[in-house]
Amino acid sequence: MIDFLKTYIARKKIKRIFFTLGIIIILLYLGFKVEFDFIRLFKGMPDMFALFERMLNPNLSYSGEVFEKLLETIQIAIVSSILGVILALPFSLLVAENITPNKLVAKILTAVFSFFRTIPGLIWAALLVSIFSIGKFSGIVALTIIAFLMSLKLFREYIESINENQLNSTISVGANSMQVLRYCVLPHILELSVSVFFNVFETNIRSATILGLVGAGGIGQIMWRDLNHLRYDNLGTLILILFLTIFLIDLISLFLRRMLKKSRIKFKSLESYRKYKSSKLIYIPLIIIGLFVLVFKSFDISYDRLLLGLEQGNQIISRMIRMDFSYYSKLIEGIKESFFIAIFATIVGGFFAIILSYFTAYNTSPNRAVSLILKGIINILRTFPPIITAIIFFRGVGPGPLAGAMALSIYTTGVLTKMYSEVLESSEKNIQDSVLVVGTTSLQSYRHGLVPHTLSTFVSLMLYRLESNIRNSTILGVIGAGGIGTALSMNITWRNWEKVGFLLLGVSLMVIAIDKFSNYLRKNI
Amino acid sequence: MRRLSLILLAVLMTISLIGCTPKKEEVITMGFVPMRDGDKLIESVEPLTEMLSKELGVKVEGFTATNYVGVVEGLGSGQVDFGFIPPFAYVLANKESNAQVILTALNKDLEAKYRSQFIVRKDSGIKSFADIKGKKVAFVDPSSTSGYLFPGAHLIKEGIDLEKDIQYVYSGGHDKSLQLLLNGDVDVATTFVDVRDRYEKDFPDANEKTEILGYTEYIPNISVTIRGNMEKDMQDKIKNALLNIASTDEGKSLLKDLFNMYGFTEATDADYDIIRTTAETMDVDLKAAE
Repeated sequence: MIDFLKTYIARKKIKRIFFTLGIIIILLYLGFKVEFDFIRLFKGMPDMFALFERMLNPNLSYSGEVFEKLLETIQIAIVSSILGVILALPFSLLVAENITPNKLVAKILTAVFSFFRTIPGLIWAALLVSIFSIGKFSGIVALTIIAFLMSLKLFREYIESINENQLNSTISVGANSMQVLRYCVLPHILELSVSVFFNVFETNIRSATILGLVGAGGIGQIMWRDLNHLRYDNLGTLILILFLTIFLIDLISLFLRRMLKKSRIKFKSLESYRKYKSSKLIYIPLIIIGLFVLVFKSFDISYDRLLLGLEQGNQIISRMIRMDFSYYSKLIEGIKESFFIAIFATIVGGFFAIILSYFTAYNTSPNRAVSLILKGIINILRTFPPIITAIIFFRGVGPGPLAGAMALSIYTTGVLTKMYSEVLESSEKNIQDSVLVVGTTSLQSYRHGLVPHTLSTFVSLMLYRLESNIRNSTILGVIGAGGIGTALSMNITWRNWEKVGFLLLGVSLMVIAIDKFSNYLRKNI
Repeated sequence: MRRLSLILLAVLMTISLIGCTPKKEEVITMGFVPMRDGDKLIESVEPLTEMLSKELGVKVEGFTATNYVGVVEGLGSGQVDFGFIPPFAYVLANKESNAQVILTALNKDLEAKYRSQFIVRKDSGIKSFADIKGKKVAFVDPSSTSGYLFPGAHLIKEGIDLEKDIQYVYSGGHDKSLQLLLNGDVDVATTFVDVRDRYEKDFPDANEKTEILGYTEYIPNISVTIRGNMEKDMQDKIKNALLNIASTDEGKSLLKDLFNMYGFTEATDADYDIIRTTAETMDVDLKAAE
């Protein structure tokens, strides 16, 4: 028996050494690939700080204009997020592997949507301008597509994680597949849809930068203008207001989720429950009708114009399908760089997030004040648009993938810490307690209790970030910070749709491969 | 806990290990920001940097970017030594870090300037700038020189109040402006000369359906700008290297084929004053926060 324990300990030790060694090797390799250079980074510090300082000097007289544009953006983001989430609900039932009526349909739809998810905002903009001209409507459509694809993925993963037993138990009492949906799946995802909505809403406000490109105005347009005029004081104002907005959204989301939880408490009498039921029957259709009216109101183009647009959109798509394969050397080169930037950023971000989350989540943090301060810092990190952070780093370290990799690392750290600390906060208290009770310190209870328990969630959060980092890294190319973005945006400007189509295929193959790998990992951890 | 600190240590070691990679030999970094209204899609700057390396005897490394902000900041911090940047970007770089223009590229007609045009549909009934009042105009985007600054300033000079007399939209691209015009979404589009030929494949009927209402003032071509604190010696070297390349047959054809440049001519800061005054007319506040 003692021998057994000894070999166990020895094996564990060896395993640990290999694990650490593996991490070192991977980091070394990735660091080499993104041209990580500590000295270069250190030497660039003063220059980076000088630029950052200029943003710390917000131009408050400018806030009026920002506010106006922000309202426009919020309006568009709300409509499109609601639409996206509502559209995603039925589709998620089709694509989730465990409840789909047809496995093949699910597979095909998932592949199609994964492909769509990889298409950068720039392409959507080009297509939508062709079809609907510029204006608010194009903006709404663009963001609805983004919201739809994003919430579909979240819903699908959630439904697929529903316990098999739960489904079976519903089936075993004689429920047909519709009833399974109604009583087993829907209650789960309706609850989830509120938090998905806020998640998507926040992303939409952030991705509103593409709205500027489809001429829908909003905050994206003035952000690009200020950036292009090097008005960092105005940018500072903009980011500050954006920060406050996102902070506010967070608060509202928290408040609403709490309220929803409360409203599920028992009713005083059967009477009041019935009343509640019947009022639900009235106000839910009303809300839906109201939404449709809202959408159709922004639909301000004539039928002829729509036909003309569809024809032009069709032309673009058919040219994209006739891919120009001779472009592969450019594709490989760009995609490799984008890939390494994204992987580096995800691993570094994940590493810092797992440490920072301990201090940030209020149930693990040694000190309430520390938790609050860190929460503030993390919100700032993730409000800073990666493109602006990339410019700061670019100033310090010059061209090449390093600037982009650092910018995305910082952004990923912020987003992951926020998400993971929320996972920690919602975890059961007794997990932590059960470890604490054997006399460990709080840090040990985190390390041996909470982390192993939530590791699979953490891994799936990380892989989700990896995918979005790849998409983000296509934007970084625009300023020369490496990746496939330069080739992509140049060919869009030149309307070389055959090449654009080929580049897109490359990007999406990469993302789909990562998606597959992510599913594999999730199932094996 | 021990494992955590072990990993932490490992990462720190890794960082310092990579940090100690042997220092690279001295290189000159060149940034290339193609003008969106340029005539050539720049795929690679490598052929040019190779020629420059030979001329200068120092390794030149180049990169392309589609937006100039990174390059302008790089010129300011010394991370980028010189760059091909659009005229408006030069004015910004000059203001920020005293970067200096040394050369301007020449176009097919051996001119160092270009201009943009106003186009309208033939059946629109717009015959003069006065007719634009009350119509819809498409600009490219608020930071485009040929798609906003110059055309906008031109309209102001023609007595049109941009905020009161016309409705305008930003289309996001010269091609999109043309498309909006053809589709009847706007009545006037402002683009480079000549957007209709460049995108003939996409809009084959553009030439027959639209006509040119007028041209803006001339805009200086893409600039070769060096960072503000470069020694005079090096400045001259780079300038001469580029001029030399443009004078050889091999260099000439390379510049023509890859960048659609037909040579260079010396340029001074004063050549770009027109950008500054136009920006002022358009109320673009270039004041950098001190």
